[in-house]
Amino acid sequence: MATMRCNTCGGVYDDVLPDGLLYFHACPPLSVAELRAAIAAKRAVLTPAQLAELQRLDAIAVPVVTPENYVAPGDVYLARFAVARPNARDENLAALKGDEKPTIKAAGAGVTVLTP
Amino acid sequence: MPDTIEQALLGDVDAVKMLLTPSSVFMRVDDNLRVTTFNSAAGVRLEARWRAVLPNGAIIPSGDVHTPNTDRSLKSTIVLTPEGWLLGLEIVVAAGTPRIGQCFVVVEIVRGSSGAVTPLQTLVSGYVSTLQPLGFPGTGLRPSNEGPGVILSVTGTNPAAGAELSQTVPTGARWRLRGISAVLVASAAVASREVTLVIDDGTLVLAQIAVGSAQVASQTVQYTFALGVQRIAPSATLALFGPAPDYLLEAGYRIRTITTALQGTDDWGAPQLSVEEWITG
Repeated sequence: MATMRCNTCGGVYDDVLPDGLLYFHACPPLSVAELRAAIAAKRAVLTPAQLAELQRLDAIAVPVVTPENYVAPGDVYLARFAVARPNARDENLAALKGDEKPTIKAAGAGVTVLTP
Repeated sequence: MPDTIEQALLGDVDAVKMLLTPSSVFMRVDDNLRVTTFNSAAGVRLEARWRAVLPNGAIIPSGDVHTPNTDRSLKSTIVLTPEGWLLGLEIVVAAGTPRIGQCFVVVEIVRGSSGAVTPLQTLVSGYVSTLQPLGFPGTGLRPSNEGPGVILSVTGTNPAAGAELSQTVPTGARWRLRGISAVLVASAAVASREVTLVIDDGTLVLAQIAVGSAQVASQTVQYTFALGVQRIAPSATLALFGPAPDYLLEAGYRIRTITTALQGTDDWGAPQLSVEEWITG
């Protein structure tokens, strides 16, 4: 049982769970915070139309009296997207035929073994 | 071939035996058994035990070992058999402790012993466990998604700060999500975070359940979405609950969170999932 860190998303996981079950990590989609960081770094994660809509929503002024559960319209808009992480890792096995040796779907940027 | 038993009795012993066949399963010299498994449990070893009547009337037992893979992928073993009638067979667990829902076995008669063999007849299929062997005749053909699955507790990936939770149903599995629980530690950044549980098929959203309460700066909240749980107004915002949809999720489906206003320094902990799993080939 080894503890790994995914070099693509930074997620930490054990490759074998305490009961012996194999665990197959797959990187999560970009979060709202990560989407904003990608957009700020001018990485093309949204289409021009989507970017224009985000800019329009971000331009909406914050209410003078802000409700306790206020969420910026731009964040609400970004939360609707499930943008795949660039170079995502997916350790789930590719579809198999017959007795072929299993391979993972995507290696991504690999892993760092934290605890062998 | 004698037409009647009377004729056969006047003839040789083998002719009598051919009329009085002890089993409907006659194995030619180039027929063999193939044991195929799809397994998720660790440390499993199976034994295929069988008995046969040879043309000379001798009854012989035999046993062969099969070690499944542990990643739900297909593993096959050819069990060589002599010419004769197969009286019966059983698949038993020789090592490991697979539970029902973890080790699915199919036993077939195939023609050939290596390479591209020709499957001819399926004898038995079903899950095997330490308490429950498979037998032919007897067990019959059971599909892998029949009956209750195995209950698993799965620790998911602990995401990096600023990232969401996401758990993908593994290849070869079908899940029913019974519950998921995880802690979100909000940083000091002022924002109103609201957590939504999302179920999708890898692309399209199938369900989206918002917990309905906000988490503010510097709060640590345990979120739990589970079957039969109703969303309740929290009296103390240390634990929030929401319902989980009673969906069957195929391989590649995802269970993930969307946290509006998630800050780059907010940190989700590793989720703990309770799932019911079946093997799907």
